[in-house]
Amino acid sequence: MTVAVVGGNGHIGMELCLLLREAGETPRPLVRNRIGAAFFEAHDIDARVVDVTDDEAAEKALRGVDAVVVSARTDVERQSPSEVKATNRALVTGAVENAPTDAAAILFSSVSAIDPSSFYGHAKRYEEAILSSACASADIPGYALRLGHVLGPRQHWSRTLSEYVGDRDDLELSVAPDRHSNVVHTVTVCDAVLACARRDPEPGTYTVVNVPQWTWQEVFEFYAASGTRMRFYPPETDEQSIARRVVSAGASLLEPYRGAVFRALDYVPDRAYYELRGRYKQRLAAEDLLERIERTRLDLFVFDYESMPGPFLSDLPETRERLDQERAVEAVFGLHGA
Amino acid sequence: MSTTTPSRVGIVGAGTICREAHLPVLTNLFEADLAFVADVDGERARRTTRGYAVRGITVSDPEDVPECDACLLAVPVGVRDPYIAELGRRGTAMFTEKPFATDEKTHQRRLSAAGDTPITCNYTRLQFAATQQLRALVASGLFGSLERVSLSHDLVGPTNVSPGSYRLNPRLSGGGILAETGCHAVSQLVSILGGYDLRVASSEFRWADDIEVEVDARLRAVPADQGHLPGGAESATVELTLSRVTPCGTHGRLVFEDATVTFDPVAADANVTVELPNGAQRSVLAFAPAEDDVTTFLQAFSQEWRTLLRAVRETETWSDERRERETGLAVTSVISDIYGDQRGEAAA
Repeated sequence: MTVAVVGGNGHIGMELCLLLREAGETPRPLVRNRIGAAFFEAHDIDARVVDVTDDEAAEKALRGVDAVVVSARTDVERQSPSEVKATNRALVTGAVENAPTDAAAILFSSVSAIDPSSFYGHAKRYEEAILSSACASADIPGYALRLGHVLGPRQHWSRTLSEYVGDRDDLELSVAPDRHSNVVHTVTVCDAVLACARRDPEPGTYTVVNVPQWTWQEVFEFYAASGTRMRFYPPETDEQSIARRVVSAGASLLEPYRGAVFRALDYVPDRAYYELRGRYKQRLAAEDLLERIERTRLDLFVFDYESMPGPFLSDLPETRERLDQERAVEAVFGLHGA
Repeated sequence: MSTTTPSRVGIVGAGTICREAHLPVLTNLFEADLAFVADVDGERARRTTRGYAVRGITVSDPEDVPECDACLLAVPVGVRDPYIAELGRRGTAMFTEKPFATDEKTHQRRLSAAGDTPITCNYTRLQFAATQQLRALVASGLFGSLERVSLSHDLVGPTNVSPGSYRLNPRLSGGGILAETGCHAVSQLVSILGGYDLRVASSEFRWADDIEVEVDARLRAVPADQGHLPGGAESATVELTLSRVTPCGTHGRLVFEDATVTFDPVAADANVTVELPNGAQRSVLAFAPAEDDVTTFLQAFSQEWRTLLRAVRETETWSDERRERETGLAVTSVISDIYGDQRGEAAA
């Protein structure tokens, strides 16, 4: 199968192209300029320099593909919300409308779209709606894949986790070990793309996470050396949150009356003074210890995500069985001239 | 209480670096009073200045640049000459974006056109603690003679280059990965190896038409003054690798006789890690930036601006040597030598 990837030289798109090739398929990355194409040319992958919003050029670039993946988008870092919508709409419709009539269209959405209260989630919902509408008009099957937190040799989350793990003997993590992580390795993303390209599932919107879902303990065991000690501090019960409550409670109660409190000490019995002093020392210690905890303990916002609901694509291979494929990506991303 | 009268600062070029760095930094410097942001695309200038207390204006002729005490030139290197000439004529201090030039002749021509006014170029990484620590380390000879230096920057991935960007036109950008990004790495090498002359032994390029997307350069660092460097230091090999094509990793490494020192050349807050052989074991020490070192890019930008604006405020006269150093003449020389005769139609 030939799979076009709009945004092929993006972080996910690049790994996807390499994994598709490893799987024996033909990736066709679509990039915006010749600098982006250079990587693929160097690795014998046929990249096309094309603006997918240019219908004539896009139709030519997408000729003969079995599926087109939209992995490109812009965001509010670069453009205003209305400009983001317009650009992303043009990317999705350009890809869908110019795809062959027997191709499938696949949009990389995000689990953030499940709760669209964030701008990103809201934007992704919009793109999903555009995909649905464009595919209905073009009469081609459309799949919106809500990807979890993507892991892979060159992915941001993998780098974050690897850097924290480093060569530590002890890991301290502000999450429950058995909490679902909602991560997805690029090998599973590739499997999901291929399933959709084959039209195995019904067109629609699917959540894509590792198969089966990995817990955070499994995630850190993947990155840590064997023998690394891990301590998990679920946020509801650990001493970090207790310390925070102590600090904030004490501060909020006393702060408006600080001067009066100190003056009032003149009139309290010694026993009361010592009681207050003991509590004050506890609070100072809590602040002190909290500072180090916050420095050394890993606390990521993704730890707060609930386990993502489906529907999920059925019959995808288990992620662990597919991780060997990552070696193809790692081989390409190995050290140069070492 | 400060009695400093802020200098009027103008910006020419309302692109990404202005929006993301210079403008927010300058509005936070008490030494600077932002006068204008000018661009050939007036709408872009106005969009960039929204939310700031400074006007965005359309300027396509350098003579129309309003008066100011210091001016940022954040325009492509290929269109900078007329602005330097005009601002030099006025005696306006200048802060140019990098690279200052990609060949020595152009570099000297621009310095001459700038006149006597303070002028500097944005080689940000020279403000990084790691760069400064390593410069001191090399000069001290603490770990014996320097044997090998390698510096690589892996740029495989999103290019962040839009269709129509000046970066796709070497006449405007000065070149590809070497001129655009590699100039920072070269500036670090020149700084760290301050007591050495860098001589290019070989360079290999990979091209995407007329834009280089990979550079693999081998240089020799020859002590400039044998008597100055400790231990009768001999030349060291230097490897510089920049690539959008081959994942080479991003790292800096200095191999001394008695230790190996590594750092992340692109991180403003990088630690310097020293690996010492210790009998059968190896000891690893890590040195973090000091209390008053910069640890972010924006802090590095602010330090550069402070230096220039102090020069403006105190009406400093910079020697030719200072101006050459601030604009990175040695950097230009190395870049030019690396290109050799392999440059395509890249602009000077």
